[in-house]
Amino acid sequence: MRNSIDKHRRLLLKQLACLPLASGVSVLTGSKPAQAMTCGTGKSLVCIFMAGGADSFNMFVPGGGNSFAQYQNSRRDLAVDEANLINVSDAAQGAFGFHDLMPGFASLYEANRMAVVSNTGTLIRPTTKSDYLATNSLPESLFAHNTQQKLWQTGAGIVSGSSAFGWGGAISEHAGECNGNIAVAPAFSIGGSTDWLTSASANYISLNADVAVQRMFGHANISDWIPPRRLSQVGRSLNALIDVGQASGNSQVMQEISGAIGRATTATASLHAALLNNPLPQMRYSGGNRLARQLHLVARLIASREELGMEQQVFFVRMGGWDTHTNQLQRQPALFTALNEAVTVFQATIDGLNLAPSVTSFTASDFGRTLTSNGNGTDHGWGGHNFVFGGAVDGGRIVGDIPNYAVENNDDDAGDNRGQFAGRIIPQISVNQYAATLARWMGVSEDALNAALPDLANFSQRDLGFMT
Amino acid sequence: MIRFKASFPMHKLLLTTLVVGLLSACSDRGVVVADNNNGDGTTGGTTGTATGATTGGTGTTTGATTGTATGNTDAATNLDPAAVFAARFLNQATFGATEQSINDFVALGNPGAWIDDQFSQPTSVLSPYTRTNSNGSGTDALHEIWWNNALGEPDQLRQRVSYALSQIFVVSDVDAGLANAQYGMADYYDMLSRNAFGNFRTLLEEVTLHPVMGAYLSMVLNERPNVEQNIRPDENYARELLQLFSIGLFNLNTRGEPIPLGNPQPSYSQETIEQFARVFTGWNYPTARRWNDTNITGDFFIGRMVANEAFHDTTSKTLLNGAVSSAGWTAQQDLSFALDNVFNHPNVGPFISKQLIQRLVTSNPSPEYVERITLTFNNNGNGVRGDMRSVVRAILLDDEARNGHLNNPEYGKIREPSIKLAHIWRALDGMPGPAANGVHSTANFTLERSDEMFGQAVLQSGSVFNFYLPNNPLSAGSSLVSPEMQIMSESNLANTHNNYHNQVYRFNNRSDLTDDNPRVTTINLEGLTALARNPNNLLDWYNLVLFAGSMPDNVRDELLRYMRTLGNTNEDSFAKAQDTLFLILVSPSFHIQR
Repeated sequence: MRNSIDKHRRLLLKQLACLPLASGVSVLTGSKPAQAMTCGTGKSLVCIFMAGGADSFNMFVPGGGNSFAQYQNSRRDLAVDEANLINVSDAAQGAFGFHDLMPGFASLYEANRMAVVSNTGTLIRPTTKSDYLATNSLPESLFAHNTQQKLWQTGAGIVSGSSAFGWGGAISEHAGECNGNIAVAPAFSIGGSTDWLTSASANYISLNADVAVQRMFGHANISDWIPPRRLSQVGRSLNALIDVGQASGNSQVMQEISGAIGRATTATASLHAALLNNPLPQMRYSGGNRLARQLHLVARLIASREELGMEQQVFFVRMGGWDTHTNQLQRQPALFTALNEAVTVFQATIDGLNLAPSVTSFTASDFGRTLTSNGNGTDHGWGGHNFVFGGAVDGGRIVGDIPNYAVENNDDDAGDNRGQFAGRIIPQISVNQYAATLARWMGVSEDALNAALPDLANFSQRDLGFMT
Repeated sequence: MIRFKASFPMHKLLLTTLVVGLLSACSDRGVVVADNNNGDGTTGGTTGTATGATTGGTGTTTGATTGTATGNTDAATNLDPAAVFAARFLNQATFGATEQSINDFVALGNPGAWIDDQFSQPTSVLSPYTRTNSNGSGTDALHEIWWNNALGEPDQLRQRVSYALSQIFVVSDVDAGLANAQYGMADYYDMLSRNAFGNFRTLLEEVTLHPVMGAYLSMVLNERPNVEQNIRPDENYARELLQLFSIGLFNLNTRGEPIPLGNPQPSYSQETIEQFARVFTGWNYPTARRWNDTNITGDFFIGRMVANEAFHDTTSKTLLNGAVSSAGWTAQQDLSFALDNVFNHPNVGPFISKQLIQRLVTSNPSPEYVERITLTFNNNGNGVRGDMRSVVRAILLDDEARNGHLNNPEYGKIREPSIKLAHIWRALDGMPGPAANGVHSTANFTLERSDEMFGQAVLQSGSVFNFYLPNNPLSAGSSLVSPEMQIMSESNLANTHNNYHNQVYRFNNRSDLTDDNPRVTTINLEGLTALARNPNNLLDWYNLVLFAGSMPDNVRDELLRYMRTLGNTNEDSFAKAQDTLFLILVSPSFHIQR
């Protein structure tokens, strides 16, 4: 971790951590006095990224009447049958249904522990259909996987803009300050490299849930194979080679790879011990559920929070397979089942650890998918629904307006200027607002938020109010 | 002895290279570096056919300045410049330099001749072995033969380029669907290999029509629109063809820079994607008896998809740069027109050239280097566009490929993990374990699971975006890119480290594998042990064969310091070889190809 705050500052931060949490931050605006950073007593934030563009329009569906008919008419043969919905309701917007392969989501919603954040996506500022047709301030390279992933994860409108860093990275920097001077970085990706956690000053640890976290042999006198009389000298040289690689006169590439190896050495040593003590065998799931495997490792790291000396943690997990251009009806059941199982057993495990109030999880994806069919699948869309859950979520409701699903005269549709319906839904909620709401729950200051999310200023509602 | 550092005049190179050949003939392991004060009995040589390092095709490259003429007094400068030239070249053009390949290269004396020889080598393929050793669903066979080819077959340049192409025209069997199509996966890879030295336009069509690509990016069974049902053609292949396989997101100049500089403009719009999506309609699996044949038999993942005109959109389409196809064309006519349209877009040269440079040579090529290759792509000198032989030759013989490391500290790249492992096994006589039936395996992971160890395995990318992105920043906010850095995660670094620990300490030629794993590939430490009687000789060997002359002085100093902690018995020599090899394989500096 390359955290540059000095000792004095850390002391102050530790004292700040003892102050009561800023409360009542929901549905508030810039008129509120600037909020200072707060740490609280243990908080973990988990991003579940559905890579490829998840078809959330088939996860959470209008539950009856005209809306369902419009949805069905847009989706045609890809529509979920009304009989396959688990009915729930929203006080303001009426009846809805979760796909019946996602009963765990429905249960969390019914228990007011999950909120549906409707029609969210990359936006630089509030955007209408006429803005879209006139290409006014549109996010760069709409509908392209990697670009939209990057914009989702950075909150930026353009890839090459000043915000090269992820909003998860801004939260990690905050978490790092709360954690003070410890060996382990505040953030973890269990889903590979991610823009979401990039930051100028806080690194993240990237772990593979398919392989046990191992200590690196040769370091710290650990090896069953290097003869004992040589082992300590080998370890000394291993460290020396990392050190000489990090020397300031070296090339950046040498410094970076050396730093990465050094961090791997430190992190795996700490994590190996903590994870051994927190196996959490009570979290059970199908063997092939890779998302659940990732969340299992997350749960073990959350259970290790105190042991690792961490006040706050930030996690990124990734589930692939969502780019359902073809055979969508055949592929969705497995995707929905796995997502539902992973989320359900993870939350149950967190509940069992009595950590629910301090752990919040949320979904994100490249984009939503088209409402229209390409024959047996869907293509790259824009807005989509997302799901926030945990003990601190003000759930059982929909945040934001459910979009219009009609194929004709649909102002929510990014169709072409001949009036052709595309079923690419223009988001009504910006990633910036979604990010800010979650970051504020973690205690990130308003100044830090403004720096991390410059486009947040373009939206009147800075906090979507789904966190208690 | 000529091995001592000096500023070599070109005429001295002849003599230098002769010693290399002679030494390799005299020593146990064909040691390329000379012995300082004992051992190998060499006194120089006067016979042989080597002509020394020579100029490359650009007329600007020489080996004379490579690495050694810096006035540095470190013993590393003992290395023969021609051998260093060879090793650097071979690390870019093969799966890693070996003593033998360095000697052969030096003996040939001319990188252009080496490339010509490579162009004439028979193409090594994956299909026959895969068909014999897999039932079509087991993924291990494809990896076994891929590694055997990479380690042992002579068409190294073609294989290295094929591997690069497989990271541009990505298909993957990690997700459901293609794991059961191993014959198709092998056929797809062989198609890339056969076209690696052909024309890019042909390659583009072979990729587009291969049924594995058809399945991976869902062009197969893509239908013309049905307005009544709100059904549009599938945009998947259209989009990735443009974004990833040919022109990229933004207009580019010949230097590979997005233009206009500072305000780059998209190279296509959503409308363009929709038009191309209509082009790519009406294609089915080769052996399908009818559209939506639900019980296709035969090798339906082999060869080319076939057209079914009833499902092709015959309306006119407006493509890149306003080109308009005629209404009523067949699926093949539309496809040919569209691929010509893509192929002739000015972005293709810089877009593809830069990525090939990144795979072979350096992560951050200068715009001038990219431009030189672009111009070769655009015209090979005989009026031919997209001639891959000329492109590959130009990339490797370019002055920046040969000499770029001399004046740019950021030159080079993080080695791809699989190429690094191949290099180690090639350089240290990696032999399949006694119970492995000729199949290689790492200590900790079988090869089809190497992505779990180090984030990379052939045809097993997590998505069409490859193992890493071409523009992955070296570090957050850095203006330098490093694609491979994207997979240098804590897990991957730790798992790779421990694998090399086990390779060196458990799976070497002295190991008794009866109580350990007799399927693991062993390396041979005898040659290194012999060299270790004089630590400087050992370090010279590492520096040449593993580092191509780029071992940093402070690394060398640390390894010398380490070896001084041990004595001078034969067992100590073995220990020195073993420990220094481990230290090197996991060291930061060995991650970097200069």
